[in-house]
Amino acid sequence: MVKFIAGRLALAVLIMLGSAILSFSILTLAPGNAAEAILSAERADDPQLAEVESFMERHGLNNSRLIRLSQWLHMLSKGNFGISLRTGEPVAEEFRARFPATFELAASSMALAIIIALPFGVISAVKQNSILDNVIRFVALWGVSMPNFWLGLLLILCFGVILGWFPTYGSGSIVHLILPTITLGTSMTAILMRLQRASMLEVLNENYIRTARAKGLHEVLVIGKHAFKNTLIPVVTIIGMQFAHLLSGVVIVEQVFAWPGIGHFLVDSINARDYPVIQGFVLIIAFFFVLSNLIVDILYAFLDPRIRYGRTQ
Amino acid sequence: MILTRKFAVLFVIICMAFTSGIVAANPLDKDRQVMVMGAQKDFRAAAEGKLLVFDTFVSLDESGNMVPKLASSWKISPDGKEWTLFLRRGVKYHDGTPFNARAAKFTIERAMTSAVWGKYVDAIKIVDSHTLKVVFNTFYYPFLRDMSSGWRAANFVSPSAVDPAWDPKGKIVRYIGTGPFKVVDYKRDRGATLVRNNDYWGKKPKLTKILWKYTPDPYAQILALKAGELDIIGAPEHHSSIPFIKLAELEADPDFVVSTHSYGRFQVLEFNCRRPPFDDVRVRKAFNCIIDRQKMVRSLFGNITEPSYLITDPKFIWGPSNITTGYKYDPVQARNLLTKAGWVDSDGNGILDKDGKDFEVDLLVPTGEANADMVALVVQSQLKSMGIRLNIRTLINAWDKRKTGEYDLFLHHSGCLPSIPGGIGIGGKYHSKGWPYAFHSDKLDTLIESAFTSLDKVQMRARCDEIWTLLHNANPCIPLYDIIKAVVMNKRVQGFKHGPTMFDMDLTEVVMTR
Repeated sequence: MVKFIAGRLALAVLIMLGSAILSFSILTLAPGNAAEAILSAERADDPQLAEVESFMERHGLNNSRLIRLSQWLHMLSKGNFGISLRTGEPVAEEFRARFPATFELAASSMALAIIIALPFGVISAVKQNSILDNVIRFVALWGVSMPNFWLGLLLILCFGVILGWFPTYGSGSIVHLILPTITLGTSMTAILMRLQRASMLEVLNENYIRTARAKGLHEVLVIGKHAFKNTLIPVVTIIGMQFAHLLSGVVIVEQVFAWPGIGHFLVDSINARDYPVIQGFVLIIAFFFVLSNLIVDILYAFLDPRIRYGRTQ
Repeated sequence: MILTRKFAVLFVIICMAFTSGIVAANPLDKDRQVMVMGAQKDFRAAAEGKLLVFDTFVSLDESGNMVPKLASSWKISPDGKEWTLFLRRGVKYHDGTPFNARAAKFTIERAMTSAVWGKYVDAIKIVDSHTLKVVFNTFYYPFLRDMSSGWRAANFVSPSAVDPAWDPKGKIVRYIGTGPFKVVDYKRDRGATLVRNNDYWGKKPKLTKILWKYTPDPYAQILALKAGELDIIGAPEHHSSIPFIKLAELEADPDFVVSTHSYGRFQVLEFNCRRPPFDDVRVRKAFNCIIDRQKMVRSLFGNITEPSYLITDPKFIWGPSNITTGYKYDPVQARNLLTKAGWVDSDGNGILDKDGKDFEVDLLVPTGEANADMVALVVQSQLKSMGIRLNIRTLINAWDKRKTGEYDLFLHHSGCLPSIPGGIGIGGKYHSKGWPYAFHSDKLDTLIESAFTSLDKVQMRARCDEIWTLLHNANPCIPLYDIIKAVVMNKRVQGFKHGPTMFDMDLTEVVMTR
């Protein structure tokens, strides 16, 4: 297992580098000019050509792509992510300051989704085609289809403006977390619920479930012990992928609730062509994707003995 | 029994968590003179925030005249190369460091690291403790104006608040200026707490505290205002950050006050004057006659803003005050001008043509330009009624296309203070060192250079008159409407005034009522 993890982590470095070089290449080929974008946003007016040229010179943006890439890789080898063109702060610091907020929101939304989706997904499958099943499926469909920004604004209007129960923006306490968590968690809950239901239906038709029932096992044990655990492989995969996706920032929810996470900052940086920030953030986000996939793989081994035994053999 | 007790404890914990959160969430202090300001930019990213904390050498009035601030007066040598700044005495930074000639020299050296005029400075000499002489190798007219802007304001940081201290290239570690408010707390992407500087040299504000709240979404910001969690929105933005469509609704709401202000910044369509069809002045004139601005503005924006008929606002000291008749809607004249230019519908397909080619032009719209899509559609339909086909191209790389001239019309805005408005500065839009494909002529270049290298105000005004007569007749663009700035506040906020430039707000008289 240790060898497996070490191998995957070594691969992670390659994947991160690959994604960083790819993002750098795509960015430099994309239209737009960092100096113009940053200066005109700062002054709300066209910067003069001379100002644009001086900005580009100061930040080495006139150098060829290859030189800029090698300079960046050289810096990276020393553990330096560079300085943001827009804020003048180190990229690592910009990430560190914002990541805890993103993590908090991602974790709470994921927790909400798991707590609601798994039991209701199971109930929906067990009571297939009942009224309850139809209600759950309808709610799931509604949750998947609802755009985030619309749900967010609706929740603010209802619970912030009309009822006044929750603050309309900001972060820092449990009450601040509730509305953004619901907004972000809704679609995830719906996706997981549908997946859990489908996965459960498949397992319930398996022979070993029929065997378990035939030997007179209590239905709770059949579902809870034999069926549920076997439904988890696809569900855990999706949870892992979705969680990594959430860690890469949730722009719209962060924007609507003024949540100080990385998503909104990253999009602003992309618009401003703030190359060091984009490259640095992509690199770190790639790491989280690799890490969450690794955790999912390790979980597989615990969930499915065949995988575990296969590896040890 | 044990289970019930466990539930009771859990319930109490949850209640405590909620109430503590609610208390923490309430931004209103017991102190009444606290204003909660919603801002769509992070405090440190906003020029408006900087101008609350940092003072500049001068500020500008609405027309663009310089008003003394940290420089109580200034003198320019007859050749324009030596600027002597007489600095205000008795001014201290928030950390107690005295503001004097040495600190002012540090500020200018700091600005020189990024300003265009940095390369023109030969020397900065300290004459005495409060007099500074800046020696240029050429006369650079906008020097003090550039230093007055929000984007330069952070250069007025206390020399001891950068790391290493007194190093002009040092990094700002604390936001310490000489301005009316002091920063006591700043949290990235969350907000800042500013308190009144009780030692301020000028008129002290009545507010004791401003809570700057970062709220990037305009619609969520309006909801927060309605929930009473924000007192004022729109003030710390350059443009109208509040969607025009919501302004009418807020105006009708008795709980809120909507205050709009013109900064003489017009939405315009720039012509590519270096290729057909707009290299022909008759066609440019015809386009200015085709657009029915009144109809466009009333149908899109109601009474929120006004149409504009001149290239820039005549209220500026360099403005077109000599032009008495603006461009006006006149379809008959437009038709005559187009016919004279050879554009007629010879094949009867409803589209004008010339030399066998239909009249079809491209309008380039940079992404993110406010209200641009609606405006472009109205222009398209008005041109269609004259037999002209307009293709709207909304692009993120509009800047690149503008440099290479790959457009016929470009949706843009006229510049405004603290820059020289109207694009008539040296290196501005209509100077040949500015936009490559805008209207240029040797005569115009000579006039611009002579106006902005002159120290004689009368002569400068006379040159500006000539510039505007030439430009107005050349029809270099289609002015459309005034891009106003709108601020919405609740009834508690009294005495708010818009600042003289779009980066400023005047909070001196603001009081929070019950």
